[in-house]
Amino acid sequence: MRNNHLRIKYAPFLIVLCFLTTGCYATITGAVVNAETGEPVEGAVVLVEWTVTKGLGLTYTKSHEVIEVITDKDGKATISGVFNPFVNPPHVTIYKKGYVAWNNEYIFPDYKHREDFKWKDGVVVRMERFKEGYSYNDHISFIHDAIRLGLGEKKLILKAIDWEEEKAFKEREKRFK
Amino acid sequence: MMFRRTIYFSILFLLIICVAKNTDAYDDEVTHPKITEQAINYSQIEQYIKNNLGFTGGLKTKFPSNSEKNIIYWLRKGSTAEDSPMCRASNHFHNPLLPWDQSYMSDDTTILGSLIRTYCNLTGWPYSDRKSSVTWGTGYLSPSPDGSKITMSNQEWSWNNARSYYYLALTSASNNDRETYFAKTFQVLGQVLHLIEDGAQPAHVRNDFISHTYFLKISSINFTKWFGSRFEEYVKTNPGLVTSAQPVSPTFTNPRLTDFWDTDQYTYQYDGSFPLTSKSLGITEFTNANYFSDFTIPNNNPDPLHVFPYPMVNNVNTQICEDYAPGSTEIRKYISRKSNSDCPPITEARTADHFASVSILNVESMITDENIHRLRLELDDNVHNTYAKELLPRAVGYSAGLINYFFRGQIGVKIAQGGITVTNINTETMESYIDTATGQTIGNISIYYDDTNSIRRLLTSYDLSAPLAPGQEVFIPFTEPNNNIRPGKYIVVFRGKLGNEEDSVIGKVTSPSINIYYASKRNDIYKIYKMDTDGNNQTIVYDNTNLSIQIGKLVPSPDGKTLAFTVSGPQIYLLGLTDGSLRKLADGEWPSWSPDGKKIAFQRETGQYLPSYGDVELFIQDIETGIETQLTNISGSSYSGQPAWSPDGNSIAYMKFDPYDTECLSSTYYIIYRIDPSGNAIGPVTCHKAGEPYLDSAPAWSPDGQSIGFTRRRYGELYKEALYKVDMATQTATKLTDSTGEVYSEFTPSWSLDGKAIVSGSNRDGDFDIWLIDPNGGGYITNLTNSNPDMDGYPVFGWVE
Repeated sequence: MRNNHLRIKYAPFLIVLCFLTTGCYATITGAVVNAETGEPVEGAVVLVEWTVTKGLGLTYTKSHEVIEVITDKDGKATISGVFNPFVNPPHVTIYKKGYVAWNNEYIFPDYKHREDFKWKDGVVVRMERFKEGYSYNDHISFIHDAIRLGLGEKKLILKAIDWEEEKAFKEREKRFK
Repeated sequence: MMFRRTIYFSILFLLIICVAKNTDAYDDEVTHPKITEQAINYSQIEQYIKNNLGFTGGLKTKFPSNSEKNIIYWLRKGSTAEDSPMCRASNHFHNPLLPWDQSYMSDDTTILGSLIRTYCNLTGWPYSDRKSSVTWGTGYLSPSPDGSKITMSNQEWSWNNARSYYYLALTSASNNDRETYFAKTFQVLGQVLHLIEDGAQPAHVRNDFISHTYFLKISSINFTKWFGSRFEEYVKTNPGLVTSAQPVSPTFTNPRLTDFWDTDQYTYQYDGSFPLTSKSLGITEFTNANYFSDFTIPNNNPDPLHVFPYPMVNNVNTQICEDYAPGSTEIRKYISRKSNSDCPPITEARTADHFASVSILNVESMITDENIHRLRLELDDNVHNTYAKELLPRAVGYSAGLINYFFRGQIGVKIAQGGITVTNINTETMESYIDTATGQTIGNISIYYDDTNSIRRLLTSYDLSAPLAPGQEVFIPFTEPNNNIRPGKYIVVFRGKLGNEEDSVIGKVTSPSINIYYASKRNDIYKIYKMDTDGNNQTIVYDNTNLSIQIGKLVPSPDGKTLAFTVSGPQIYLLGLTDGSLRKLADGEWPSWSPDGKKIAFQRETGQYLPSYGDVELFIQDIETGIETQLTNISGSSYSGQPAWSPDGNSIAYMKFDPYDTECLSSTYYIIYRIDPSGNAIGPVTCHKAGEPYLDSAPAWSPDGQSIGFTRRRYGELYKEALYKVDMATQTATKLTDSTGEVYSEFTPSWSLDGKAIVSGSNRDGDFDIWLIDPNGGGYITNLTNSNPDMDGYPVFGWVE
């Protein structure tokens, strides 16, 4: 009984703590559209990864949760929220063959900072078409960085980019020839 | 009250442990794996693994093969994982000026540092076990290979482990194990790369752990997130700096493994010139001698643990320049290295050399070049930008260099009769050495092969009793296995001392290049071509220019070096596939090699009978001696032709028509029959009953000897051959083509070396092309040549070394 009393007493504090830190993210539904036409992009893989940094001074990062969903015919996808005050802000990457991979932190090819994304319901993500002249190898490296390849377990997005791994491979082969 | 206090302190402690956001070394989530991938891109690893290990998919090769995790994934994973758990990273420091048993991180003596040291002591990472990053990565306490070496009970991810996993990846019996060990090899290599990359972070080579607890900003209520390394935070938030870093790679002569960290050229006794920019220095020496970390700037009177002789700030080598402060148009004074340039005009491009920024704590009137050696200095983001642009190229270049060092060993392999000739094609000597820990002599070359169940088996092992100098070769004899899943494919593994590296491993998978040879008539001229198994890269193998010559049945020798083929006449010729030599073997046609490559069976017409029946018999010729043996001898018009020597060498299947033998209607039609190489009958392979007017021809053994593919047509239905296979155990014949009832003309089937496909000439598309067909009933797979109006035929799988 006393324990329950304590929980209730500290509940507001914990809620405030939760919202003051960056670790609480509501479930949202967003839409992915073609940046030029505004048409919905169906079948894009939306990857969201939450990480947790542990330690002090000597620190390391662990994957906390990975969510992968596919956009529907309206280009929409729903990401369930994470309510954990310890997690770092989410890394969001969206991939669809023929488009430049979209990341919520950096922009291909220059790794410029993205400033136009907020975690909110109804968010619209605009994907640019992959242009002739872009390097597949540069793009695949960007994707590896964006999805934190080597951190948490991902499947759908790795399957989706497999064809581009092949393209990058062929590009590297030409470079060596 | 006491209870509450305990609760509060417990929560605080938990927060420290659980949510601290101070980055250690370069950030392990973004920066380290990114440097590693950049290094991969600039290294030779992809070419190496393709050429030496047979990984035709290069870096996109996946481990396990049914997963999505390719080699880049494993290397990146290693570079990320090296910081976990927390106290592991206390071994990521190395001060190159000190002996290596004293060069580890030792400045965790502040209040916070002491807390961390205590935590590590309690969680299995005691201070007494702490190692420098070079020792942590290699085990050496002084330069390898002569320096003393230790084993570390809490280190499973060192260079030695990478080598051991690599050895297991090459030699383990099961494919699953080999794939697991390859994944580990690349992950561990990624972990070691992390240590090299840390060598390009000044704080890590100047014993400056406490700069990782620098105040950053108030970013959330998690106060531990307010602190971290400002340099690392800058690089983390500007990953484009890594992308644009052009590698500066080391140029060591006779490199020692530990040289990548520290060559011991730059020590307290060093009396040479500065700046130290040589590429023959270890990465920690370069970084230590040329860059500051937050608490090791000599102008700021650092404590004794943070005193370093270089770099120096004085009015001989530095000057004061002005530039905009980071992110603003406020003017700030900077220390600039004179070797870089004079002070440029202040522009948005911020072109001044930002070696250190002059602190606002200095008295303005004192900020002159004369006083430059005693000005209080700081490192702001302009300085971080300068440092990153000079240090990241070294991080990428040295990491690429270490990858190349891991994958540098090369073995030349020539497969010969009765063994393999191995050549040391390195610039370093391959030899044995005595392992000081075990007293064992280590140094051998082992030959493995994969059997028909994909189990890797040791064929023989050769002890290197004498060094194998560059260019020297050694012949290693063995008996060729009869169950090699891919004849000619061997895995040659060296373990021993390579140059200055003990316990080195070199792998060489002899990779027979699989081709399909075939004859093609183009513009009325027959030539012999080869192509990849997907139909690509069609190239001429025998460039016949004589319009009157036709080319027929062809077949490569078991060692892949010689192509026997038929020309009109008919005559059989031997074409050297490596040297282009050509010689006539015999009058006859349809050659078939014995599995040992010493003999060829063929057919020859020995007589003519009216109206147009011939007498065709089988012969064998010993290639070296030219001695012929006639295997069959049926008087009068008969047909014993189209021989196919079995993979075990014990029988020859052929097409038989014998007017004196009514077995299986062979006196009326054609059956597939077997004899042994001495001409003794074994018995029919296909057998016709009444009402089965079949003509069976062109037998072709599956590589495992369990089946024979052949073509069959009904009597009188010319050009309507269908492809069949007969199971040798049950003698059941199964049709492989013609599932729709339409009959095309299939000629001369040949099995792929792994038995998973049959290649055949077929006019299914209206003209004769080369088709791949599924031997397990899946029908046609693909038209490889599709080259109307060319006529393509007599395809056969072959390989060349």
